Amino acid sequence: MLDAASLTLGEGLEVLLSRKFDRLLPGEILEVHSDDPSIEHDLRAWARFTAHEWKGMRVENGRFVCSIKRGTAQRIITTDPSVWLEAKRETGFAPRGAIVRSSNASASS
Amino acid sequence: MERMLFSNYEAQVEALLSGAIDIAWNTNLAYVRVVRRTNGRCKVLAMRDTDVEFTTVLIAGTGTGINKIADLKGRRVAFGSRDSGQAAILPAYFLTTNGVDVQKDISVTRFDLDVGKHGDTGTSEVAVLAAVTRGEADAGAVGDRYWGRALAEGGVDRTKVKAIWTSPPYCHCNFTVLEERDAKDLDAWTEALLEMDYNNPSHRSIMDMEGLKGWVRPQLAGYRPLFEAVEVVGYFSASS
Repeated sequence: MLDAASLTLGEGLEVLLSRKFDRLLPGEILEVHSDDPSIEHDLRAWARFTAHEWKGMRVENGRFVCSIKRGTAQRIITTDPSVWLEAKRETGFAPRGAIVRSSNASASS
Repeated sequence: MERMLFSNYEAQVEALLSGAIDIAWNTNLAYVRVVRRTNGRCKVLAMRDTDVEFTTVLIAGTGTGINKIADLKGRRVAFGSRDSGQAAILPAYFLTTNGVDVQKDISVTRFDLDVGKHGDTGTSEVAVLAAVTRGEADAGAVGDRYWGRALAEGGVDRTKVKAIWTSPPYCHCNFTVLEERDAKDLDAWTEALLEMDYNNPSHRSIMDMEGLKGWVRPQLAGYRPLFEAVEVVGYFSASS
């Protein structure tokens, strides 16, 4: 179960949902409890976009309870540094085109 | 296998009908056109999983007081390109079947962008969302595919826009062939598609580019709403 309160997908609910689904097996159901009246439309679209299966919504004690069945697609999650293709661990990630300088320069003006 | 690219789906349909190509990757509207032109003498080979259970989402400004379809009467409603199934033709049909006369009851703002692409590029849906967000339209229609992606990527200001209605499901794109072209080699081609596995890294990148997690066999009943919609809104009589 995930209690979303009134959090929307763009505010971070997407991250919470993805992490919850990572721990479920294909076919398992996640229930999302929300106070957002639009959650049904948002989660139904998001579930299809992410290849999970929308199972429906019910109202329970004034809250919206959405059921989503986990799909078979796996997210790629890795801590293997070899997949950080162009990033250097010493300097971290830099926007494309940016010149990365040492971070120990003096901050005096 | 050779690939031929077309600038619009109408040209692709003509190429399929003339035999210049064997298989067409059609939008739902292009498929409806092929069925009408061939009197049903065509066949669907496969579809993406994402082409099944497609829906249209009606969105509205959070400050408009619009919470259901009936609230749209007297309001400004934004539609996508006139040849977009999900953002124009089907929304007009669904509003009609839910008691809203699109000609008389609402003021329609239409974003005719990339006409000929049947809403494929999504540009008109971006314009619909932007218009509702800025308050230039009270409500609008977008495909759930675009709505889901925009939400996931943080592209929706939910303090300004909310979803109020999701349509019944319908089907979208498919691989279409003419009935007389159907043969064994196409069976093998279809089986190869169906065996693609999203969790296989060598398949994943191309499937991500095409927006699917798996290929599925045709589900033709899902095209019924669009067949009805083009009749109700007079799409082909208006566009030809």
